[in-house]
Amino acid sequence: MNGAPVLELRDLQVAYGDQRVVWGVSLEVRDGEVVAVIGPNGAGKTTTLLATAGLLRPLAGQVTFLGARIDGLPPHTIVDRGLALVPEGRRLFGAMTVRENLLLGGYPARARRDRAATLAEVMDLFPVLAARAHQRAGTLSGGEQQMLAIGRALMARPRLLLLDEPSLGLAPRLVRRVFELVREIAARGVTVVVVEQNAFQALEHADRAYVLSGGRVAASGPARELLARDEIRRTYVGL
Amino acid sequence: MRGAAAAALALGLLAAVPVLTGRSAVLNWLFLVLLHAGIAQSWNLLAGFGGQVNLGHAAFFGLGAVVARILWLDGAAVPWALFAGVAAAGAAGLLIGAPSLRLRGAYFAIGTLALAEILRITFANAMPEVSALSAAQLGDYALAPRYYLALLLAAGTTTVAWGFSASRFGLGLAAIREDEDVAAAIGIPTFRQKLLALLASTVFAGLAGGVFAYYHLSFYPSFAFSPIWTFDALIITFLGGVGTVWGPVVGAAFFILVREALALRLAELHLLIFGVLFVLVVVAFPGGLMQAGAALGRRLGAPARPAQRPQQG
Repeated sequence: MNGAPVLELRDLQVAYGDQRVVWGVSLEVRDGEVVAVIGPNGAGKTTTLLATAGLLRPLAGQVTFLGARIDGLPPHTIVDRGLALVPEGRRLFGAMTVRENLLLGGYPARARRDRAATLAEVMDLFPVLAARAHQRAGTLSGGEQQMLAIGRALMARPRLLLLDEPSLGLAPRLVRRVFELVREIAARGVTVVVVEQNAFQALEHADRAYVLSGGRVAASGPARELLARDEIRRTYVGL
Repeated sequence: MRGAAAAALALGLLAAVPVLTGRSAVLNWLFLVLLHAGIAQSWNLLAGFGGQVNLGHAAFFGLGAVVARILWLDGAAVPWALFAGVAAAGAAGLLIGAPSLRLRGAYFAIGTLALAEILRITFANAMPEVSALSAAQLGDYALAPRYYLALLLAAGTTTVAWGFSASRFGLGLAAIREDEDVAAAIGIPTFRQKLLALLASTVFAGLAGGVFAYYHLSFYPSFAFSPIWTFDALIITFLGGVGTVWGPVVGAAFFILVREALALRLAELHLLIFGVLFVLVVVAFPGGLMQAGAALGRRLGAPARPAQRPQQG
C-alpha cells in the first residue's frame, strides 16, 4: 500500500457563494489504497469531494491528480483523465434503463473504445445489474441503485473512484456488502476514496482515513489506528 | 426499419403532391403544416431532447426570415439568401448560448426571450415598411418550389431529431435533460452538448424563417420576430409529444387543421382554445398526441409498439 501518489489536495478551500465550507484541507491518496474521509454533518466532506471532481471551483488550494493540476478544469475533462465520482444519493437517470445508465457512464473518450469489455466487467462485478439490464433504473431497490451508481462510474474506466456516502439509506447488511464491493474494486486496481457518515464501516474497510471537522482535517492515519483511538470512537463512531 | 419505411413512403407521397394536384388550397395547407412542423421540430431539438427551454425561438426564425428576404429581394439567388439567413440565426444562437448555457436555471430562457423582444422592437423601428414582392417577382411566383423547400425543412429537422434519438450524442442530451449536475459528474461535456444542440435548433429556425420569407407575398419584418412563432412551436411540440421524433410533425398537422377550421369561424378565439387544449394535454397526456395514440392503440388491443421489453425480476 505504498504506491505512487494518485491524488493530492493541498490547502483546499471551497465556498458556496460567500459561505466558506472547506477551510484548508490537505490530503494524499496513493495508488491502490482505499481511503476513508469521515466526520460529522457539515464537516465539508462532500464539498471537498465535489471540488476535487471539478463540480465546485475551489477558492484556493491545489488539486493534483496523477501528477498534474486539475483544479479549474471542467468536470468532463477530469473524468476523462480517470477520476470518477459516485454522487451522494445515487442520482441515477431514473427513467432510463439500467443499461442506458451504464452506457452513459462510458461516455468519456477514454472509456469509449473498450466500452463493451467494460460493460461485461461491470456486469460481472454486479450480476444483479445484468439481470435487470432492461429495467428502468428508478424501479431498482436502494441497494441495487447503489450498485448501478457505482457501476456507472466504473464504466468511465477510472484510476480513482470517489464515493460519496454509499451507505446512505441502506440496510446494515447492504452497507457491509457495499464496502466489500469497494474492497473488490480496489483489488481490481482502482484506487478509492470514500466519504462516509457511517464511520465504523468506513474505518473497518479502509486502509487509511482522514477525519474532517469544521472544514479542516482533525485527524488522519491508518484506519485501524483511528478506530482504536478513544476520542475518535466516542466522537465519530459512536461506540 | 418499419418506421424508416413508413417515413420514406410519407416523404414520397408528400413529394408527389404538387405533381398530382394543381389546387393551391391543398398545397398552401400542406405548406403551412410542413413549415410549422419544421419550426416546432427545431425547437424540439433543444428543448425536447436537451431540456433547455428557449422562449425566444422567434429571434432565430425572424433573423432567418429578414436576412433571407432582404438579400433575395436585392437580387441574390434564393439558396444564397436562405444560407445567409441560416448563418445569421446560427451566429445569434451561439452568441446568446455561449454565456447563458454555462449557467443553470432561468438565464437561458430569459436571455432568449429578451433577445427576441429586442429584435422585434428594433426591426419594427428600423424597418417599419411592409416588405412586398415586386411586380416581376409576383409574375414569377410559383407555389411548388416553396412547398418543396418546406418539405426539405420538415424532413431535415425530423432527420436530425431521429439522429438525436438514436445516437450517443442524443443519449448525452437526455442525461443533461434529466439531471445536468450528474451528467457533468459522469463526464458528459454538458456545455458543449447544449451549445451544439442550440446551434442545430437555431440553424433550422433560421431556415424556417427563410422559407417563410420566400413564401409570403408581403409581411412586416417585425412580424417575423413575433412571440407567436415561439409559442406556436412550443404548443405544437407539446401537443404532439415533446422530446419525441414524430411529435412535432403530428402536432403541426393537428394544429394547422384546428387553427384553420377555427379561424374561419371564430377569428382570434382559436388562441384561447389552443391555450385550453394545451393545458388539457399537458395534464392528461404529458407525452402529447404520440402518447395518447399509443394508449389508444393499447386500449383497442392493437400492438402499437412491437412487443414490450421483457421485465425481469
